Amino acid sequence: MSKIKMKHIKKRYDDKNDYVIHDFNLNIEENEFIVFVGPSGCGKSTTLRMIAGLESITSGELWMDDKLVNDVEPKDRDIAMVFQNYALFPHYNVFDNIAFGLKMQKHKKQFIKKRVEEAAEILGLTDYLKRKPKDLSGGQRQRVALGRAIVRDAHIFLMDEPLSNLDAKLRIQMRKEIINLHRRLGTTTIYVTHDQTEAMTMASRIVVLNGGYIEQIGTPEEVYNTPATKFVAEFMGSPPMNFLEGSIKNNQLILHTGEVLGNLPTTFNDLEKVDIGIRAENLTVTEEKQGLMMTVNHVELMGADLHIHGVVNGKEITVREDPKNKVSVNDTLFLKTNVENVHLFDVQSGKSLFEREKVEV
Amino acid sequence: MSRLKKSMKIFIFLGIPLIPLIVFWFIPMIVSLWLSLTDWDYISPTFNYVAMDNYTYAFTSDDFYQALKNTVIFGVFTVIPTIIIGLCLALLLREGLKGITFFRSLMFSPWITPMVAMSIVWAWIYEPDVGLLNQVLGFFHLPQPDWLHSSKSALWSIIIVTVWKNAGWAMLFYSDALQKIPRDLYEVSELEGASAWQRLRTIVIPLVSPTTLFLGIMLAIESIQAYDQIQVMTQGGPSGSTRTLLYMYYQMAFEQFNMGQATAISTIIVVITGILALTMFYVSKRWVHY
Repeated sequence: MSKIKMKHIKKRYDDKNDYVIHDFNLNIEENEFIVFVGPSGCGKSTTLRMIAGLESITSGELWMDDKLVNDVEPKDRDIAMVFQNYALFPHYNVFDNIAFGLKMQKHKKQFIKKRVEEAAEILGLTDYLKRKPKDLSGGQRQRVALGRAIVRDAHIFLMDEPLSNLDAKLRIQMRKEIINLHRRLGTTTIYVTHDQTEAMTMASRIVVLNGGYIEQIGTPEEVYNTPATKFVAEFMGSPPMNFLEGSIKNNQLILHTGEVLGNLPTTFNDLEKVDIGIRAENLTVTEEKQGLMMTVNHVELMGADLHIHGVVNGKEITVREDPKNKVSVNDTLFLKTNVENVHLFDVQSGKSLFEREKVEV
Repeated sequence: MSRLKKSMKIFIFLGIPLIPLIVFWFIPMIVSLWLSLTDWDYISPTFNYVAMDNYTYAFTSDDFYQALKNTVIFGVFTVIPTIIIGLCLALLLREGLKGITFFRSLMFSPWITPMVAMSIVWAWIYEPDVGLLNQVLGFFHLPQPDWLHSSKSALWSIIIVTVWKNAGWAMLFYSDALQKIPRDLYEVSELEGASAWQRLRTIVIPLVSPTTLFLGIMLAIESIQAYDQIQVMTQGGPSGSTRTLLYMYYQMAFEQFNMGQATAISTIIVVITGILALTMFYVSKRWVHY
């Protein structure tokens, strides 16, 4: 089993009235690397745990290949899961931790040894097989947890924030290792994270969740370049998208200060209020004394980029610039942008107006 | 000046708490050790030094070996069942059940009841002719033993009371230990298809092992020190069948006024307790996982 279909899945805890997951629909194809991303409490871990069978499904259907698995025991779903806190047995050494599942299923010793050694080889754990988890680094512990998952030869991997306990450098390294592992094994993987960078760099498709609803499903490029909602636009990307208030009149995009940003590339109805989203890289500092006037309040040198934070018409704005530019706090800068690069969102629903246009077409 | 101050500090923080320890524990122990080498009768102002005679007497007496055997049986059959029942109760009364606090309190209540009071009630329950236990057994047409009145069943009767009293106490410690086991581990075992028995063997027992060691040592020491229930229910009888080493010490010292031999027994008890605790601690390195 390696295809997953989720149809109108809802989740409500017994003692609560409100749903924590509302109408979750998703088709996961074989070998995909799906990332559920969203802020804390958005329901991403709950959804993953429902797929694992560790949480019950209130209503809806969960299919794995051609089998409805709503009431199938976790052990019979052919899945392996990696937990945030590694969930290693402190009293077992690395070998026994990796071998745990195989031992529970009473495989032959020789077979277990072979499988564990193969997994240890893939994960670079061969020299650590006799060590206890407490004698390992965070990265090594996570590799042991991965080892326990791959040794089972399961058809689906579920990973619940597996890198969030690691430091930044190790996280980048482990990210690479997990991607390589996925390429090598081709196992359908669902990965939960609150870190949009992990989602952008690892996923074949991203599912952005907010408050128990799916905000958008798409490839990292789609999610970044054409965010379906203001939430997605804000959540995905670092620094987050900038937002200004404005209106549309005669297909012209006008800031609430009255300044005209330009003619919109597609035809829009007149709108009195619209949220204008502009990515930091789509704003440039201009020598001309016209455009958006920004007062700089903070400058961050990120190495390859310079992030200039400031205020435009009372709104916090971030600009990504070349570090060669010399900018200081309290400087006044003028910014320009190409109207073709802006994102427009409905003030009430937060939905992308481009998206609405698409739907209406 | 500062050195003097430091010495004073050490004296205050270390010396003062040591005073009661020295007065009430260390000195009596030395005196007791000395008395075990004499023939003091507890009353006379004079006594003779008899070297190792009291120990020789103890090690060649049948009564001593009978008491030692009783102590071992009492220890083994109170410690192990208490631990097993305590763990089972804790597993049964895990969070999530309705009225859990009530049941926990119920199980724990024997431990807060004085052993003397409980022993009196149990002596009535055990009464062969009118006691509650035999009434119930009779109702179901089951054999009705003589309980405390028979040398075959008296020690077991006391063991039952002791286990009943301590199981709730052990349960409380295990409940706490079980709560500290990460939920992830149970979930892993669920995903990996572990049976309930495998879960108990691979997760629960190893991860509560520090508690098991603690309870093992405490209960073993307590079993050696058992006195109240024996005194109230059997006074060591019938025919010495419930006489443990400690009770033998009590009888020799305060019934037979043979303080020399009594203190020799008490010294042996201290040595046995020490060896037992050390052995358990040493062996525990193999099976206790911190």
